[in-house]
Amino acid sequence: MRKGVQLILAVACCLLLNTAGWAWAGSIVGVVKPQGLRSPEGILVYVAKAPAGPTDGSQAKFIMDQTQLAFIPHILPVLVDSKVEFPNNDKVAHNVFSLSRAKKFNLGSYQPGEAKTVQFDQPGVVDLRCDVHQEMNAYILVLNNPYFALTDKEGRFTIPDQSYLGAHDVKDVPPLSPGKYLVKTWHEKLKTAKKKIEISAAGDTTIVFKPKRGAPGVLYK
Amino acid sequence: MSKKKALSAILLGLAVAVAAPLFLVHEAHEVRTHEIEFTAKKYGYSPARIIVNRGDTVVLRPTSLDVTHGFLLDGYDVEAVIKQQGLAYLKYTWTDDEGKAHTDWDKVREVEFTADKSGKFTFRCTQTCGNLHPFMTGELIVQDNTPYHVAVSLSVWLTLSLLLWAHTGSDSEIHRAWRVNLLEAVPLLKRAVKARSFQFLVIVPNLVFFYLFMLSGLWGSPVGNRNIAIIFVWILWWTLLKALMLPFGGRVWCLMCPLPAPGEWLSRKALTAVRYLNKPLRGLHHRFLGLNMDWPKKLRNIWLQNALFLVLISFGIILLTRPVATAIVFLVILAATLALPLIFRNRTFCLYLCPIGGFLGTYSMAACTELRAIDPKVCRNHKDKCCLVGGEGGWACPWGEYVGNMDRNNNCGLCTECIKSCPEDNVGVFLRPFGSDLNLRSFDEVFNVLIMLMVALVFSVTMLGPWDSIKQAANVTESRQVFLFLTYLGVVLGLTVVVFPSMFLLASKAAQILAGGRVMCRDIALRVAYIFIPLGMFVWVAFSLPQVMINYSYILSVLSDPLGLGWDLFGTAAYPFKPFHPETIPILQGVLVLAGLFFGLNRGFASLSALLTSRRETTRAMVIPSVLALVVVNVFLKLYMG
Repeated sequence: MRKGVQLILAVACCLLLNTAGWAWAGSIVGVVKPQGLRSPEGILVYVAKAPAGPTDGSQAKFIMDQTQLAFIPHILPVLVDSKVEFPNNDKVAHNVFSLSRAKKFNLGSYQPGEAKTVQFDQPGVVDLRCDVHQEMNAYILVLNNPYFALTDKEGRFTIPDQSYLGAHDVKDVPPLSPGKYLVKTWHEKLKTAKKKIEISAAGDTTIVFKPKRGAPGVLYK
Repeated sequence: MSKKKALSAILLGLAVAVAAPLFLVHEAHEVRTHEIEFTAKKYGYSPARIIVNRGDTVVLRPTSLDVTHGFLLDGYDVEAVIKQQGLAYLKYTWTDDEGKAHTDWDKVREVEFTADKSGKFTFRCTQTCGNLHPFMTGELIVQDNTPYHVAVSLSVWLTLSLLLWAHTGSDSEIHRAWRVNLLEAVPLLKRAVKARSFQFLVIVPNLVFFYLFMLSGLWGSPVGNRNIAIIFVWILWWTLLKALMLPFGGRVWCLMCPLPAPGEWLSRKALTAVRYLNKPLRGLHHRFLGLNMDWPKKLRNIWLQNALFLVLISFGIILLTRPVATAIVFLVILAATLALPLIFRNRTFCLYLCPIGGFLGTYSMAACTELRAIDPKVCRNHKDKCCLVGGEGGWACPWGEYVGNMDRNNNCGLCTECIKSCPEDNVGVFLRPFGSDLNLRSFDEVFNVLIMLMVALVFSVTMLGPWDSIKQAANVTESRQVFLFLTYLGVVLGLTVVVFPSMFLLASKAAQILAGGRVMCRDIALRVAYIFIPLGMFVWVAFSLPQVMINYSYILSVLSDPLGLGWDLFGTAAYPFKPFHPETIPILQGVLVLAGLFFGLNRGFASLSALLTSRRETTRAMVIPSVLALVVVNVFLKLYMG
């Protein structure tokens, strides 16, 4: 019994040290204060250039729901090679399509209760529409590394967002190693804001973005 | 009690009346979040009334059950467009670096706000969703509703104070009215009204507008708030009539009304000139085109006008929202005003048939303007009585009035013919205190005063209230619910014709008994009814003024596009719907209703005191009618502020 407790404590200590080690190695925390948005929630903050890691997007599971004549969520960041399921949980048929360069597809009209899946193999912005309902619109942001986060209601974010990644079966994302990075924002109604930062081994790096109203740029040049 | 003591008691009462509602705050409550499934459908919201405490958070999950609706909450910066299946767009504004304001909409499932201001706030539809769109409202009541409680408290204080103040006055006090002859004070005005073309020139622009409104009503947009006939007649003109013309100018509208003018010109065979006969024809120095008959004596009252007014208001909400209905009513009136002068002399339509003529007459009694003889003795000594029978300078009074013994405004259309016809230059237009003509003479006039008050109540409930079912019942041509409409009609007519007149008669009987029983109940009733003239006038202003404050943007847009054909004459066709300080409306309405109570009781007392011998009797007689007025006022306060 005593040995069992010791083992659990040892594992817990290792986990704690491991998590703390990520923070030391460089979590990016900060806040986005946008101009011209009703709420600072749902703005993507991402590391534009990051070292290629072992993360495999093809195992990740993402869902873009269709209910009450809307796509939910409105902005869905995914990893390149991820598969996104499009269930129709509405009362009427929908027809999801995209004309975006990052992924062109047309799922055709399908009935409530059915679901279709698309794999996103190129990074970029995918503008989703429904052929039946003009007002339905959402964005899938295909990212080439897991170092991104969506802002919360107060505009705060932490990169990498382990809870978001974990919820979509993206596990074992290592912390960013010390070095220089370019961090950018994306929102459909905001000009892209970017900042160069340097992550040190000492701890978190804090950034404040103040993006202005306007059209965003592409995710990656 | 001496006047000094009474004044002290009144002031102390005022302090209590204002302070009590402020201290009688409900016990402290926990801040709550109200999550509400919120539906919109023609022409109302569910729930129609949202009652929360100050500081609570309200989360609405809006959806439309039919077409796209709007949601604009007075006093709060919350505006949304509500679509079907739980879809809504929430408006927000922001300012760029150059200080320029921008607006955008976010697709949302919930509309959340904190109820941080207490009082009553109306939410209203912003999307033209159908005929009754301008009346699609709901109410947010944020407790403690202090403004409402203060208004109720003040109404009680006002009633008690006026009774106390009246009671302490001495019998020898005589009401001395001041008056100023405007024709002497403003010589230019005198020159203008003396001109033969004066009334013609005043009428012509209105006639042009009138025909434009007819065209627009018949062939313009069928959407009420996009049609100049509806907006200009029932929003702008009605408010101007109630809030400005009647209280300040009496029947000044009759001077410029375009409806009877063509018929009058036809019967006179002249636009401006006077056709004078040296030898009078049946009492008048004029021969009119047609039969030259006189209106039957039995019908020389306003009962027909009362009945026609009730017919019109039975379909009031249809008339107010359907341009074609307004145009048809105009056409019928035009036909009547063209035909009648060929049969009867004088303005018989205006005097006995015009649906609004009845209340123009009774309400003009309180107006601040009067046309009277400068010196009645001059009239008495003048043999020809040119004002009544016609003179070389002007037509015989089309309203059948003799200026020499005129002591009320009721039947004076201010046409200014008597000013022109009087060879003695003995007619003036006077400014005077509000509520100077105190004598209602018959029960047709009393009935008019009573139904006007009740119609204001009915219109307030139907059009300003948040109750969708009442609107549906009244809107029979669209809802097709005939049984509901008949029920609505039964309630409306029962209230206006039976219930309130009965309450009034009981109050009058009680007043007669309390006054000592020496005066006939009929005479008391004629005097007591005067209370409801100023009260009715102020209540109508309280009903009408918000219509302009809410809908003024439609005035600007239809001005640029009068026929609803997509024109933009003055660049205001797309002027956005933005009510003018709508959060002040309940307060404004409360103040107006209280002012009506004050003037009503004050003038009612003056009217009674001219009949009864002592102040003691008068005060006693005023008690029950005052309570009735207080009850009526509190019904309006509840409706507007509660």
